[in-house]
Amino acid sequence: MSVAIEAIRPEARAANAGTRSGVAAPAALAAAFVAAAAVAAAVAPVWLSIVAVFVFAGPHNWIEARYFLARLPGRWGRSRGFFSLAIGGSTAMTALYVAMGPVARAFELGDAGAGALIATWATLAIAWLVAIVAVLGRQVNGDWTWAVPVGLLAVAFAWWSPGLWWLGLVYGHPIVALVFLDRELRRRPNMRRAVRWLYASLPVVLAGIWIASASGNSPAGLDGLTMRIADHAGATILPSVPDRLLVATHAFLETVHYGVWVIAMPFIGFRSAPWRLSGVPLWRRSRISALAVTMILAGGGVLVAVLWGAFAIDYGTTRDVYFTIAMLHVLVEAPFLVRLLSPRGALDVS
Amino acid sequence: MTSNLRRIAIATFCCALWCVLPTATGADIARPDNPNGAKSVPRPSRNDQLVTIEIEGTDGWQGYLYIPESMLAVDATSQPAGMSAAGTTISGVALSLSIVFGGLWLAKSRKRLGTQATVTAASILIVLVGTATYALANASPYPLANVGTLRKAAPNGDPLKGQVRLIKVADDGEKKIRLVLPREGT
Repeated sequence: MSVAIEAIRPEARAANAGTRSGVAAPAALAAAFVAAAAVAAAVAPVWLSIVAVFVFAGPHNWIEARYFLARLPGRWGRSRGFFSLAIGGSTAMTALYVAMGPVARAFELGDAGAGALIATWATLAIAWLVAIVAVLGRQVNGDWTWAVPVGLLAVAFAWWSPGLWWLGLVYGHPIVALVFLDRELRRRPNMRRAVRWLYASLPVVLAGIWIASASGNSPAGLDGLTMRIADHAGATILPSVPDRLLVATHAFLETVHYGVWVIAMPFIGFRSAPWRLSGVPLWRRSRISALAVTMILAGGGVLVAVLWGAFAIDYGTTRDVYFTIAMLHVLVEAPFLVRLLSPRGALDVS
Repeated sequence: MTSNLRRIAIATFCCALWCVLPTATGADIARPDNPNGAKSVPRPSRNDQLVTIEIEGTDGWQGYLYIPESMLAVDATSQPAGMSAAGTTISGVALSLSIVFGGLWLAKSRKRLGTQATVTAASILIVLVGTATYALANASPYPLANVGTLRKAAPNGDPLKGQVRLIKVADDGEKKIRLVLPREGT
């Protein structure tokens, strides 16, 4: 159909060609980024993991915070319950997550005890998510009861293998960014098509990384940092899988995740420059909320600088602390994702 | 159902049978001996205990091996660690309730799944079940000893050899052997 229109209307063809040429450069850039990340992950997985976290961890959190603040409505109205549950729940679940380590050490829990602790936390997190779906479902008069069996299935999995469940969170979180980007591109069909082709190529790229990593040596060095990176990627949970393959896979996915938030989102997901807070509905609501938004983002900016300094002083400890506290942004994404994927739900408030 | 969809469904079903049947019927057949002549590692009995080994560095000039008293005599009655009773119960109950509520949801919503959706879901399920059966058919019924980061102690597979002083310690509740080694240069 479009071909026929183009044949009849030369101006339409010219406009479409212009759009396509506008897509080509960003798509090529994105493909180059993915290719570079894949090569780095295959050749030097530990290096990529260290550098990517050092450079992008802080800024990507700040950009996520800015993105979600811009998607919060100025007045919550009927959504008050949803947003209260989302913010309160994610904060409480993060606090419980941070407390798990000290609790396990204080009570000298063995492997089985630690597994039960993770499974208990997972059960609470799943219950919270089901409640989020229920509140949103009631709000939009949609069916939400499917969330109960799905949640129970997730609980069964968490208790069957707490380690694998946690690993699912580690590897699943980077992929969530791809969903947000895809949704943001819904008004740019040509770009969305190009990005989806890139998404479709990711399994092939991953297969290439696995082939390159499976026969490679273990990540260089027996130092504590390398071991912690390998553990984070699941080396102790999946002992039969080569460490190098796990570290490479995780480093690659994490880098793509950072790329989406730090490089793509500021151009695609923001309707105004990140520092122009007038584009944030909550900022326009009242002086108090404007102050709160400003404080959150300014404080976040300071934290990014502090994080870089701490990484430079003691990378290993800072990395451990960061990945523990970073659970907050993992959890915050969940209710926004549910809202994004709900039948009538969109993050649009404008 | 259109003829194409029917063909896809039949092909998928045949593929699934091809994946599942050989692995299901051959799951208990022992693997062949190593053609290189190397002896395979003997399969442990179900009564074997899983032991945690912790290797530490020390600034001292000799090595120590700390062994809990109870581990010097093998406790043949102990069972290997697997899922805890609570974990098994909760997982089982949640799985059962999931199926029950899933069925209730399907009945209540009175949804009729379309042919395409059914074929897609069945294909995904069959591929997952087939892959899992293929990968896990020979899995040990008892948990694997998780070597963890210990493999880094011998990165090239070369044996490490030396003497350590054996020290019997009181039980601390966890079955853990501590190997304390002098750092390089001490």
